Amino acid sequence: MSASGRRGGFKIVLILILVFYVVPAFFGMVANIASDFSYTLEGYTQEFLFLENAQASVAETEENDSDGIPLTLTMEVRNGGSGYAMLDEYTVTVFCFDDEEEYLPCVWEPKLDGDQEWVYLPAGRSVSLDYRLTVAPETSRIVLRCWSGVPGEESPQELTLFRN
Amino acid sequence: MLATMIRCGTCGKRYDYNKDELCPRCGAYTSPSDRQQQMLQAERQMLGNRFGAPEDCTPECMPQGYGGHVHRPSAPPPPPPASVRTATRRASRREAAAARFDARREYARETRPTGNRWIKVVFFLLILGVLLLILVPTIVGPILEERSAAYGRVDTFSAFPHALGEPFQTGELSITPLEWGVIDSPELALQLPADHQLVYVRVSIPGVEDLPNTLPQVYLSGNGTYFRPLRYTDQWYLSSDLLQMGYEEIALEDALYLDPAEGCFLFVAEKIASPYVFCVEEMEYNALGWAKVTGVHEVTLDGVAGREAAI
Repeated sequence: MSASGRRGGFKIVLILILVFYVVPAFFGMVANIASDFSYTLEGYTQEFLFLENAQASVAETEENDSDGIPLTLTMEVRNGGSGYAMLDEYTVTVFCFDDEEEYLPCVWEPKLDGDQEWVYLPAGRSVSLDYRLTVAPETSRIVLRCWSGVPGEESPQELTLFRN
Repeated sequence: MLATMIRCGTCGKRYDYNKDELCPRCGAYTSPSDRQQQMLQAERQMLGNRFGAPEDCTPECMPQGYGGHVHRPSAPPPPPPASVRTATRRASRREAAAARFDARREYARETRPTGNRWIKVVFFLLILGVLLLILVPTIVGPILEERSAAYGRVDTFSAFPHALGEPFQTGELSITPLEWGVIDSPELALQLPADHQLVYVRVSIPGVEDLPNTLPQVYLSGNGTYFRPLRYTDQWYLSSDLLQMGYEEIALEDALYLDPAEGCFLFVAEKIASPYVFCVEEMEYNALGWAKVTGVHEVTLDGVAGREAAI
């Protein structure tokens, strides 16, 4: 093939790439940015979750678990934003520590309503969450952490329960 | 004439010294190597022998011995010293080449099509627009998001009780809860979670011309738990049976351009002893259209259920 023929082929390939890939990608990107921005201008209805009234008590259980102390953890989650929230078993996470601030493993299981995977929480409302918890005997502090905010930009809010 | 290719000492471009004595890219002068200069000189001599004959010579001239005459070049002027000669020749050649280069550039500038300038302007504006489109949302977007979210914080939350059949206003919408009931169908019950039932609230909403982007939420409250309305598009396995029974779905968006809209909000709700409460949020909007929930309209469903006995 001659040099000019090769150059012509290269131009055709370049034009095809421009028409079918670069131009649609460019306009797609522009449209995406524009729609995101218009959404921002219209405003977010973001949920702000607040942990309140957390209580822990030793659970009365027939099972004798020698590896840990079974506890019942009750807390309220309030939605202080104007958007609704969907709570799942990871919305509130539990961490246990001993006197020396060492992390201790603990087993926790939220008791969500029925077989639901999600709990619907409208704006301005509170919902009570119950957790079954098994902690190590040397646990002195239980930290409840609740994630709140727009997905991807959540910020944690913590509540600490101290052992009497 | 043979090409004498040399490489520009300034920008590295290769060009033919016979055509351009200055670099066509940057205009710098680079002298050929000694070997190339010898070749050029030889070439010029050869051309001079062929075309540089004295003026009195005619094509009919015959070489000596064939009746012709002998060409004797006139005595050349005494040559200047070698260093002066080379410098003079180089300087004059450089000036001539520079003049040619300038003339060529001027010609190119004059003959350049004016459309190119407009293409450049359009291209520049396009790039500027894209940059703005990317940079402005990146910088301004998070600030607006934060502000709108802060605006949406629920500071005061009031409950506005209403009775069944009593219209109430939320924003531009006027909602009248007409009746409620439990859809007691054994076939449908099989498709519901344990201890749950289908509750409907029939409402009437007069049409409105415009609706805000963020609409209030409608939900059912019961015993500290909240239930979202069932959407037929999500629950297709229930929708056909419900439609056959006459429970047509409604959403607040349906009030747009409709006059009036009437239909049912359906909830898959846990069976409880206490009465359900039908809730519609009260919202406040600012000039930018940002929404804030200020309270909730509550209709306690403790009366006689509308069509419970009929199903």
